[in-house]
Amino acid sequence: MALIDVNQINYFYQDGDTKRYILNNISYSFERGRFYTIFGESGSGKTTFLALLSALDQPKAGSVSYEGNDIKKIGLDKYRRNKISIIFQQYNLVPYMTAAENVRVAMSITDNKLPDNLNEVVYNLLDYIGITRERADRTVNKLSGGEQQRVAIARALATNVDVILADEPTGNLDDEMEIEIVQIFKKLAHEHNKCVIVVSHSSQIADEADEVIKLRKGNFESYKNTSS
Amino acid sequence: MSFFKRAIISIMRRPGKTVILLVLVFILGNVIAGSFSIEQSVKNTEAAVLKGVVPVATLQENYMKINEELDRLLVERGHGEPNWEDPDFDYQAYYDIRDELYREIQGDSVLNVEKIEELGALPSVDFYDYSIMASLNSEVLRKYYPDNEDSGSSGMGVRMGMSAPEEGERDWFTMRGSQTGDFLDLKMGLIELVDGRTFDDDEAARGDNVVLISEQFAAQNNLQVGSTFILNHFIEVWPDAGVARGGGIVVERVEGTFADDFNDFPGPELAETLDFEFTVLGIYEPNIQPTSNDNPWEDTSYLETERRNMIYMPNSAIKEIQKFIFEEESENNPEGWLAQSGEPQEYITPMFAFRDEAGLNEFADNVEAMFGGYQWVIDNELDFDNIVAPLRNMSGLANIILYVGVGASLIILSLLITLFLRDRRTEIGIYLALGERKGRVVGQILAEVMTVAILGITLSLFSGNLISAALSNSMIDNQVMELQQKQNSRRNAPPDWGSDNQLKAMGYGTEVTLEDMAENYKVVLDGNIIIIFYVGGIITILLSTLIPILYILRLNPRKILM
Ligand SMILES: Nc1ncnc2c1ncn2[C@@H]1O[C@H](COP(=O)(O)OP(=O)(O)O)[C@@H](O)[C@H]1O
Ligand SMILES: [Mg+2]
Repeated sequence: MALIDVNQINYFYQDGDTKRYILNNISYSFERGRFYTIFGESGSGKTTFLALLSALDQPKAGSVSYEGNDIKKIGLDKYRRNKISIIFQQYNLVPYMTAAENVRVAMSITDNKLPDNLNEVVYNLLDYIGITRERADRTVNKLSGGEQQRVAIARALATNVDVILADEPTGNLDDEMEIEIVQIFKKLAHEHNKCVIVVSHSSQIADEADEVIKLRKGNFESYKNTSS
Repeated sequence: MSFFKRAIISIMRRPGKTVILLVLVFILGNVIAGSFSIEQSVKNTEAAVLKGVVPVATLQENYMKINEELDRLLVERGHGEPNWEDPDFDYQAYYDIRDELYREIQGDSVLNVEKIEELGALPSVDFYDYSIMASLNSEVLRKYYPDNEDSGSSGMGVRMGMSAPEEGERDWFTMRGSQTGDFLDLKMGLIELVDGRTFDDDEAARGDNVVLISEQFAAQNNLQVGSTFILNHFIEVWPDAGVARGGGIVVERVEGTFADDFNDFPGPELAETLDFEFTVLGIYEPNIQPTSNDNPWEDTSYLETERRNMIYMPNSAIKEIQKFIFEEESENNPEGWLAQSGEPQEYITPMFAFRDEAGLNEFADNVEAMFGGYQWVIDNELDFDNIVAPLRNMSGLANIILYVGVGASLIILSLLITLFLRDRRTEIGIYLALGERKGRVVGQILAEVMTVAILGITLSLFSGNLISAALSNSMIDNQVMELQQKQNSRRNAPPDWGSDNQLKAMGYGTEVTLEDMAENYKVVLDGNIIIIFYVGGIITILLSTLIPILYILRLNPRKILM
């Protein structure tokens, strides 16, 4: 059984009286241990699709299932709290908190079982992602964009979930930084058996992915599929 | 990291916002705490001063109105003014006409037992009673005179109080009647029974000569419960002199100075001594508040002496006594004023007690309607209204400020908190995207606001109290000065001549002056005020976060974050 199944989902935006269809009857399955990239032109509906996967929005028709259960049955808040993590283009960290505190916030929200020595785990995690102890105790608005996105990734990892969803995670970063971040995603999928789904219009990310899906005119076109 | 910890981090890391909220709560809190503590202090002061004061009233003939009417009728019917220069003027005839007209004007407005009972049945009246009074003498028994014991207490030296008569001279005693043994003085605590009992309904109905006497009078004359004593009425006849009616004697115009004539003037001769025997049923202690007035011109110690020697007994017994005195006077002294007045002396003093001021006011309207303005309502609260007026004015103002303050706080705090939260949309979106329960997000915001607000409330509680104390004291001083000249405003009340009032003389005065009230007024910070202020403050803050909370609940993290 796939980890996440998307079944016949539809999505449109209401523009006055007319419905503008963005997603047309899309079905797809996402597995553990694989790094997916959803690729497409700006405005093709990538963010919309990710919003449905992350339960920040709901499809007009069809459903999203986690381990065979409709996420609506799991509860959208609970699903976000315990099953997935989201990484945004804008990082979305609490600006007046330190890096470590931002990670701690996520840990305090999830119901998942976490190790007892949380403090140590937080610093190790940040260190693993490339944030030194010294920088971990700075408020995040004093960190660079690349550092902030690393903190966001650390936060995504801290709750011990299987699914990492990212919307243009390197959109605001330079190429060098992008390469490093992509390597982290690869490692998460291949070494930590996570299901990593990254939405991007960057070919560099697509090159590194196990599976690349092209979103075009509301439909998925399989673009590349390397078996693992 | 609990939501409470998040709240604390937010408060510490965003000191600018925290200080703005704190200062705002502090300022609003001062306004509210100040006005609230003024309101409460007024209530406390009023309650303290009013404690045990029940509105009581009696009636008194409005002689001013009767005299006006009398003068009008005299002119109208051609009798006019007596000509004092005219040696042939017929005073006898003039006074006869006056008396006749007087009775004509009084007409239906004379106060009698039926009228008192009719008034007593009014729903506004809580309790009523009436007294027939008598005055008897003794050459043996002595009143208790407080001044004899501590003549040095008055400070100014001479007091206006009476002193005991010489050995063998007469002393006089006032008997006050009542319809019931549970009369108003006893009910209201003006006197307290310390021994024996009061008279019962049977004794009251039969008219037994059973009495309640004061502790001091009993001690003075060596009387106990069960003792009997005798008081007298002396019938005295004036030899030959021109005896006039109306209670006076007319001194004949004779040569020489008045003083010479007076010394030569023959005294009255004792015609008969009437004995009345009384049995002591109970002994009471008068509850007399010490007066702090050292001004000899306002000395009321004679009233105190009266109250310390009052003899309480059934009305019916006094009626018997008055009837017997009248019969004996008529027989032995037919030219005396009592015999000439044609009936026993039965001045009736009614007493009405009310549940509240509203009852008294309603009663005053009823009296006005019943007697057409020929009876004044004399109440024990005559100047109480004036006394509490400055406090009530201030309390009213404080009340308005309180409501405006609370309203303003609700609006200002709602806006400010909403504004602050708008700045934190992303943060709240993050919590929601991470799957945080909305209740905990609301909890965090509440915790942040409450922590700061309670600090602000606590600070303002004390400063607001200090400010209001200073402010209200000067307000009261101003109002006291303004109001000192004002007069009683009840319609059918006698003109206000100051502190003298029949009810006060009987011990029903409020004993409070405007200055006393002002002096008693203190802005205090008692436990009740503190609790109410905190609870009220917290409720106000909670209400102020209602709109901000609705704002949070409506937030869609996708729109904010993606
Ligand atoms: N809230 C919205 N209301 C109406 N149209 C929207 C809204 N959000 C996105 N769209 C439109 O839907 C299309 C897909 O948007 P999006 O999912 O953000 O695409 P992408 O992330 O691939 O750039 C775009 O044409 C965009 O203009
Ligand atoms: Mg997008």
